[in-house]
Amino acid sequence: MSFSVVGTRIPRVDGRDKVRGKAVFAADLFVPGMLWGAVLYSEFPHAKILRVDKEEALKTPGVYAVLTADDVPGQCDWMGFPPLAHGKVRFLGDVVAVAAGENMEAARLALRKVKVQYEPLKPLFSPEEALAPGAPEIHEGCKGNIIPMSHHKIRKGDITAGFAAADVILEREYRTQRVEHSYLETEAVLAVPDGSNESMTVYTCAQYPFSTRRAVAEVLGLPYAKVRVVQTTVGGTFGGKEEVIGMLAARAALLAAATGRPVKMVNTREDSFIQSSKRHPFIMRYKIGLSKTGRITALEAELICDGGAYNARAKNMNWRASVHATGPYEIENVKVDVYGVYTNNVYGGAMRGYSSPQVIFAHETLMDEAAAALSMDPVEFRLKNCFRGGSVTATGQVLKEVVPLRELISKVNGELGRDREAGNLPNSDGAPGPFVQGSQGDEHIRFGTGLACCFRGCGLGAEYADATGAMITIQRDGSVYLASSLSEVGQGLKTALSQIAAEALGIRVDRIVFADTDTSFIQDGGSTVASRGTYIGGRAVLAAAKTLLESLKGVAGEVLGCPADQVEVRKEEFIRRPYYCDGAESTGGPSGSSERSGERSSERSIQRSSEGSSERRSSIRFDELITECAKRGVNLSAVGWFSPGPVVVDRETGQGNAYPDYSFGCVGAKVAVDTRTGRVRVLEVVAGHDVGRAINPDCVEGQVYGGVAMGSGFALMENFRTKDGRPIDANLDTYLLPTSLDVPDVKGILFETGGSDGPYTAKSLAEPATEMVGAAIARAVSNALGVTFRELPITPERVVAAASDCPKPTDATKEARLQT
Amino acid sequence: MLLKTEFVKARSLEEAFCAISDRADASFVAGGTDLFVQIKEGKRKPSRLVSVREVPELLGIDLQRGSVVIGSAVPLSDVASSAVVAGHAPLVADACLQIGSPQVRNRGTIGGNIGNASPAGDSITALIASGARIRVKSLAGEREILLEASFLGPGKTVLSPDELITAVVVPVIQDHTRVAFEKYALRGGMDIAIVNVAISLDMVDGLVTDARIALGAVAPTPIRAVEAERTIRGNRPSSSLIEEAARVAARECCPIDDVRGTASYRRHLVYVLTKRALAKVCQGNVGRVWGCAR
Repeated sequence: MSFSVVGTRIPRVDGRDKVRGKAVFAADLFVPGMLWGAVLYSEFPHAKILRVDKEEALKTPGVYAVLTADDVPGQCDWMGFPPLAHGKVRFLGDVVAVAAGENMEAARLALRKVKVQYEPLKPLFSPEEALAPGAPEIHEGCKGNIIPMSHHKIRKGDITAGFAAADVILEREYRTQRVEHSYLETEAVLAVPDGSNESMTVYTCAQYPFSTRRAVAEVLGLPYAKVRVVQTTVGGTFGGKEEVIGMLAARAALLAAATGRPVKMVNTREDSFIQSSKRHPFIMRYKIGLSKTGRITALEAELICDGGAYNARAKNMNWRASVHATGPYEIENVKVDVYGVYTNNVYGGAMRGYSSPQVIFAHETLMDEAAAALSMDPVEFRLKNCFRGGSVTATGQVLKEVVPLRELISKVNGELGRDREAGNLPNSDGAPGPFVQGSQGDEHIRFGTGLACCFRGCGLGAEYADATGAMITIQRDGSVYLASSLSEVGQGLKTALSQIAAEALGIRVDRIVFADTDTSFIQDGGSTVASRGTYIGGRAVLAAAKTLLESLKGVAGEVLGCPADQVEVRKEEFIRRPYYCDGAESTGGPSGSSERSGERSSERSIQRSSEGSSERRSSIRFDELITECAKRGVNLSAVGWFSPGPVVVDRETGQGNAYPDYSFGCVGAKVAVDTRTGRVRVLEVVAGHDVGRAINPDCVEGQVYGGVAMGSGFALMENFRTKDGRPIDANLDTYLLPTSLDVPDVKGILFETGGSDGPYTAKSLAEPATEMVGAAIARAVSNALGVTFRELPITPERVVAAASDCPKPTDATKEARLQT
Repeated sequence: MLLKTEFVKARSLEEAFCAISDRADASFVAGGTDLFVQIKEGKRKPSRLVSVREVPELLGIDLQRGSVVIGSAVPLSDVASSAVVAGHAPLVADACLQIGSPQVRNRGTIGGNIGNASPAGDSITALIASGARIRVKSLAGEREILLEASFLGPGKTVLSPDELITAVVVPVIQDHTRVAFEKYALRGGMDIAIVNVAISLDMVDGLVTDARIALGAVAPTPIRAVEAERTIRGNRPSSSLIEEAARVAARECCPIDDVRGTASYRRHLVYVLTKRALAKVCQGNVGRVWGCAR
């Protein structure tokens, strides 16, 4: 199958505005009469609110409203989160009051005058504390502080027999940290009430504008249709701009409704750190049974995540964790339990990879430990146990697609040069890179390699109904308006979907204008999450394009004098099939069959010309066809809707076909470790991904590079530390992310296996791009030092501590080199 | 209600001193890379900012009587790229290149880096090891202070609020002097040192005739490792002497636990970095080593 638009490296359709600084963000919006909103945070991580007195605050000059939960006209909670705390506070990011003033300073000054009486309760800062018998309930009636619906189970085979059959059994515990999304743009919202104050328009950088709409409608007690959320340019989200945006929008809308004036709220970086969700920290306890021959006989896992004070994600995220807990390995006997636990920490939410970066770190470290216990090479061990076509997953799903995992592992391993003597050469070409100049022969610098592999269910799977929409409208001048229920959040959705639409309609991509998401103009199609933008969103675009093509071909057929099914589209041209002749198909050539032999079609064309039918047109250009459609009053707007269909999984055993398709990947890392300072330098990352098909290879590679940067931060630097529930790292000066100087060389290897149900067989990539990177780097550092790191991040201090235990090199000390 | 801050752009030293003297809570500002953060955090509330960024008297880099004189308002990026500084005070050029990011170095000035008096200031350790002095001026007059004697604690100097650093005076490096600067931070740029070490050794006929070792981020102010200097001074460098001096330096510093590292890790880094810097200097290879910020 050849394509004209899909698979080409067109520039991002939203790139020009962004690089020229012309893109408009929510914080850039100013409207006449606009007030500024500010928030008052809880003083305690866990307390009862006894009394709130705002009398003094209301007297502040320039202040138009001070609101508490008592002033909420609709529901106080949205998705279990209170935009204004009522009754209790459960973490330090809870907001007790909001104020609107002529400027930010006035609003803040008013809030300083709000008097809140609390009765402090015992705070719980770890899952262990929250699960301990007798621990107070953070949410009333929530026994044991286990988040409702967050317990997911996998029961496959006979776990007891599996361990009985094992020659070696390992038990290990792994831990990961809390991570902040750190998107470039902090949260901002502008709420504009209409004149009669009965409806509300909200401009914001929401990841999922329909969820934001729900938050606003519910707190105001308005029907959804009276709330319009317009998405402004999103300066990054990575899963983060959902709960925090819903609450910010709800607060701004409450203030706007109370004052009858537009209200803008913009988070500082400190606000963003306090209010926004974080990657869930996990405690992961694994037990693995191994045969002497190197097979896995049984795997048992108990995974516990710290869900924080409120949680809307653990119920879905933990299900994903349970399905993927074994990693991409054939294991007959499996028992997995995943729980989410409430604590008085900042809440956990979705972050690129969801639970996978955490779980992959655990199972890939476990695989290396298992291989070591069997004295096997870790790559050989993986090749022996990993999925192949026809393998059965832990949920009993038979993999019917192409499974290129063994090829990916072999390829990545080869690129890493693991076959050569470890520790000798830092670079694959044998030449010392800039990093190692002057360190050649330094016994304090160790080199290591590691790799991690994974499978990833594409889309939402059985989390909840996966379905989404798109709308294409062809304008009379031939320009095309494309809208999607899913949103551009920086990932490249506008570009990918534009390419898919252009390919399907047979037109140039520059005809397409991609609309920003507006909840009043398109239907709710779920959140832009789970790497489903292209994979599911693209199918909805194809569905809309199919409807339009039928109309277009119908009109083309009328013009060309043939039935619609005898019209082909190629490069802006609608063409009568070459073998079609007057008076219907003679020998019953099946419609839509483009595989007819060249011999036959040439025969037809000869016949046609001999009949002198050259006067009859054989094709019509797209522009002319649009005019013909307009003349005939043909509808050229279509809504497409796509759902892969319901996924049925048994909730007691977790058995079933969990996802329609899986992506596969393998990432390798090469590091140098200075055992004296503890510095880890990632020299190279080789990222192998089965992408199904790359709709735009530039965008795919961009995802891979960004994913590597993010994953290296997860492995080595990022840790949202708190003390007694309060962030230690209040801003990006101490919460450190990798900079361009810390990002390694990245080699992306894309496998286009082409076997999925996605649009043009594309699969998910956004999350696979980052989810293995942390694990691969962690394995490389462990390999360099001969010490297994079971907790992230691997900070210099942890390296120094581990290096003091690690085996020393045997060569003689370099005493002579220091003599002058 | 709004924090009202007046901004005065001084075009001469005289203008600057006039603007600062008639307002009690006025503050000088140059690049603002530290001051504006402090204002945002509510730590400083000046009612007037007097910008000295364009005062011509503060903007030159000159050689004067055996010293490199760097105007206090010279941006860090200009210090780092100056041929005069690179040739005659290479330690200072090297350290300035490791501060923040290109943007921060374009805004931030050498006088500001000193005046901010961070115990971790990268230029400060390099200047101390180079034996630098600062020229300080006010309407009352002018004085010159040995840089290492000008710090009282984090953010605190011996300067009074109406005094302005006008220049940094760095003795020109001698033919027999060898220097090295080591900064250790978690990431490759845009990061504050967990520890930095600057070393200047005078070597004559294989003997260390003088040694200056400055340590940053391991005490309330940048300090000199005087015991370590004593250990090495008058001796012939050997790996055992370097080892001993590094251990002494680690012992004599007094770091604390903070967000960037624990006291014990910092002490360990002082040992590692001092040893590295001394080894480098003793080998005569003045240049960048692996642990540095790039």
